[in-house]
Amino acid sequence: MNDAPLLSVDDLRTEIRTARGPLRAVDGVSFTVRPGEMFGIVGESGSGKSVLGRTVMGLYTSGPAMTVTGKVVLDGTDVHALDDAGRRRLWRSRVGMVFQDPGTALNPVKRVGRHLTEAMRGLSRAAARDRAEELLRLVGIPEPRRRLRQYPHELSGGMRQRVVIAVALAGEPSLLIADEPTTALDVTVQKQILDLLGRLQAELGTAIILISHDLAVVAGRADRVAVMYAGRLAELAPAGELFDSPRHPYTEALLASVPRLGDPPHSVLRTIDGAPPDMAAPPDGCRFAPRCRHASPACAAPPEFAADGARAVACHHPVDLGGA
Amino acid sequence: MARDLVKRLIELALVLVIVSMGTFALVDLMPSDPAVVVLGEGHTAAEYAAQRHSMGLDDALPVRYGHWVGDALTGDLGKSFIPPNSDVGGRVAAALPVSAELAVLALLMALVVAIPLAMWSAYRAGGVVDRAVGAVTFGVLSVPSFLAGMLFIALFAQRLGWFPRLEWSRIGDGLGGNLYHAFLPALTIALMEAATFTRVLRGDLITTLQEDFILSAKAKGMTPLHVLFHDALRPSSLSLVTLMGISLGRLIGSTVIVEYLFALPGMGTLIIGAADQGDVPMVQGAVLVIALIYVLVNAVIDLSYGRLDPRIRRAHV
Amino acid sequence: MSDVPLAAPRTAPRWRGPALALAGLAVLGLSVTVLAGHGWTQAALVVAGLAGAYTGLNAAGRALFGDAFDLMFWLCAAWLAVLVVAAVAAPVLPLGEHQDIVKTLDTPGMAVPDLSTAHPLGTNNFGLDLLARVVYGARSSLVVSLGAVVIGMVVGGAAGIAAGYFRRGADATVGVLTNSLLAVPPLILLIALGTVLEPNLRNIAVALSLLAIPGMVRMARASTMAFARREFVVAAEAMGASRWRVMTRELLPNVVLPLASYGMVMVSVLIVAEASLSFLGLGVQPPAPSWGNMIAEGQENDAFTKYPHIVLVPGVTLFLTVFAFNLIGEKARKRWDPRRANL
Repeated sequence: MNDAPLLSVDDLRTEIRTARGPLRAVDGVSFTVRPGEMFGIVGESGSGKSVLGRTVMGLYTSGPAMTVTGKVVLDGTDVHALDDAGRRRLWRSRVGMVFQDPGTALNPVKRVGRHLTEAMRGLSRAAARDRAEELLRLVGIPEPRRRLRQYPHELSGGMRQRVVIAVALAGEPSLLIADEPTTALDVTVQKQILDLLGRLQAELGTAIILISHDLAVVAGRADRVAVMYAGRLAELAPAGELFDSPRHPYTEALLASVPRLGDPPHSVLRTIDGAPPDMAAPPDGCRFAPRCRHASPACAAPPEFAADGARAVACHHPVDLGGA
Repeated sequence: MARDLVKRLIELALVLVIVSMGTFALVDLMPSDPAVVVLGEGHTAAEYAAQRHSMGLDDALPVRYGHWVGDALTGDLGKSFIPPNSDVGGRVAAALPVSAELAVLALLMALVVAIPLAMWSAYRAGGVVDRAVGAVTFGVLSVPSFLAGMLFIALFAQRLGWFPRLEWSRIGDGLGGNLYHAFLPALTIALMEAATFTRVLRGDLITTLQEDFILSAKAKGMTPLHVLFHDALRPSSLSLVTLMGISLGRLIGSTVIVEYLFALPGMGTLIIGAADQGDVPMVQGAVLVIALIYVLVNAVIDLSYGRLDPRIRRAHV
Repeated sequence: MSDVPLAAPRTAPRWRGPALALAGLAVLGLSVTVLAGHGWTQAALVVAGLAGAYTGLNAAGRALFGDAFDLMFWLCAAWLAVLVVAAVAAPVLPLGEHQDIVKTLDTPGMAVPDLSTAHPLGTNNFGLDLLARVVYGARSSLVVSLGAVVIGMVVGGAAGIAAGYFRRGADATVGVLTNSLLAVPPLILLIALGTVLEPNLRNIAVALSLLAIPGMVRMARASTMAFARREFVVAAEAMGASRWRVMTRELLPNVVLPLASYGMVMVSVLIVAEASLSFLGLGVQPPAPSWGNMIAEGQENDAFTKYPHIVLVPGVTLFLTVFAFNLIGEKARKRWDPRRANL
């Protein structure tokens, strides 16, 4: 595996202007994604993970309603330094996005084929159609030729999400950002879609950022996982290590709130006390401190996101590695 | 679905019957005797009786209605009072193309103005252009078409002399001259429609632009213009079609009043002139024809709405 | 979209609003007195003065009453209040002659508006006072359109409640009749009735009410159907209340409110309809004044080009009134219909 990062995000911050004052959805996030890697980002709703995904892609940039600072370099290109045309070129060819709800991510008045072909450049109509058909086959849609002529509402939720993935793959991107790709789907379909993403990663060598509120979704699929809390990264580690020996108390609490097959029957699921902070007025210092059972006066100062080999954690009192 | 269609057709027929009855009843609402209106002052009792008989006024009401509808169905809309015995159907047929042209031209003008304005306003919602367009269109909605027409005539036709007034040139005499004569009246009619279309389309576009599929189109690398025209306008145009159906009544009203104002030889001038002189048969014929067209166009719009939206289309066919 | 700008907090000092307002009013005052008769310069200054005064007063209002303050709304409300008071009190106001031509034989015709004379808004070609005519015109406009709304509410409301409560035959009948009314474009319907009916205020109001009825029916029917399933109606029925009692005691009070708010919206439509009809010579008959037939006077002998005030005085009055009704109606709709609040 090539060690030069495909994507590097450095001290990314977004500030959304709202009627209640500025809201820091993403507040100093840094990480890298390697080529062909499945990178998981996990966090509660409101933790800023969706904004992070969209900002990484350059869908959100500085404008009248938002300020974005920090650096995002994708494949050697500084995403936020691009002009509009350059960013569109990037979206057409280098990075694709899979949205949460395939029911709304496809235009109801456009046929499936149109969704796939309209972003293709320099292809004849017939060639574009063949390519579209090939894409549908790639994402496991049966009878692709017939599907091309159908409207989104004629497909099932799972099929629609496959179409959305096919659309994202149309430009042969080196990075796919999947923002909660299974949240709106039936449980049985969720697994199929996640398996598809895993297969695409393996077969095409596409790096995938898998964003989810659900640890179970990224478990077993992601190579590395970043845990996000209140706009910041709490912990980043190879997936196996993270699940076996969480170092941040938030990760630990999150894991404890997920039922496991190995648990004895009737074991009590632990919930995390309190609620995530108001992002328009986040607490100083460690943002998890008000809910943390290890909190101490030291936590009044913001913790460093300290790297330790392949792992990094932002905590004054990291959980002992003894459990590993 | 077929049952639905049959039900709607039956209702359509019922509505047309009731409208024709109401139109027919206009004669009986007249304060004066139609025979006297035609004969004028100074006639003998025998002349009067003969006139009543020739107009069929001594028949019972249902019989008279039957005759009238039967004639109307064969294209004979009767004879007008003023000038006596001129053919109503022929005059309506001569006036109708003028009105139709004006209405269609005005509709096109309104769309040409409204679509870009609404798009820009929605794309930069809350910006200077959006607020200015919002204020101006709101103001325009409060200007009745006859007032706008008088201002336009005074300004563009009389003071600036850019356009003719009180003149008309038929399409048959050259398209250029025809459009030149139709421009100012059509603009007057288009004004309010354009304001309504802009406001409704803007609101709809703003909702559409917040949809995920807009974001996904952007994430595919489509240009803002492509996103606006291909992704946002199509879904939003559905409401525009409904809106056209709703504003059709007002469009016809404006056309009628503007024709009268510009003295153009259309349905408006015909019906208002006839109304002024109490020429009931003329008014009846014109109302019947306008109502028929209005109802049919509305039915067509209803159906085309289903055609335009693939989600509804499958359900109907 | 993501880049919808959001209101930035205002930081202008408190005195700026009133100062701007005073400056604007001063410019306005100067322009109508010292600069009277300077044509375009005067007109430009009047506009500038008005704009300045408006911006200033709006800023002052916001400083005093908070950001929700909307000067335009209060101006519109004030205009309607003045209009209604003037219309009601017209006979006792010191106005010039509004319709008796005989009394104005020696008054100059087509006098230009001049605030310092006995005819502040000028006279028409019979020497009738335009201010008086506009006020009496407001009287007929308001009487006719409010009358039509009331008729529409009673007839349409009753039919709508019956249709919504009895359903089946009653509903189908009312539906077909309503659709028949809607099958004729509004102005065409008015012209047809104008052909045969005596053009007095009562008949005009009845004719206009036909425009209001279909909407009232649909609104009453929809609210009735929504309420007829609610517990309190079912409970009343279960206790043996007669249908009449259910309709008048249980349903009517709930249906009246939406009908009244729709009536507010209808008033401006009906005012325009009445003006159109009178403009066409089928409504209020001259010399009795109506905004519509006053505007029509401008058509004769190019009167509008030579004496713009003949059209502008009633025209601006009509515009302001319709504008005020529309704005207040829009505001009310936004207030009561949060779903559309962002449009």
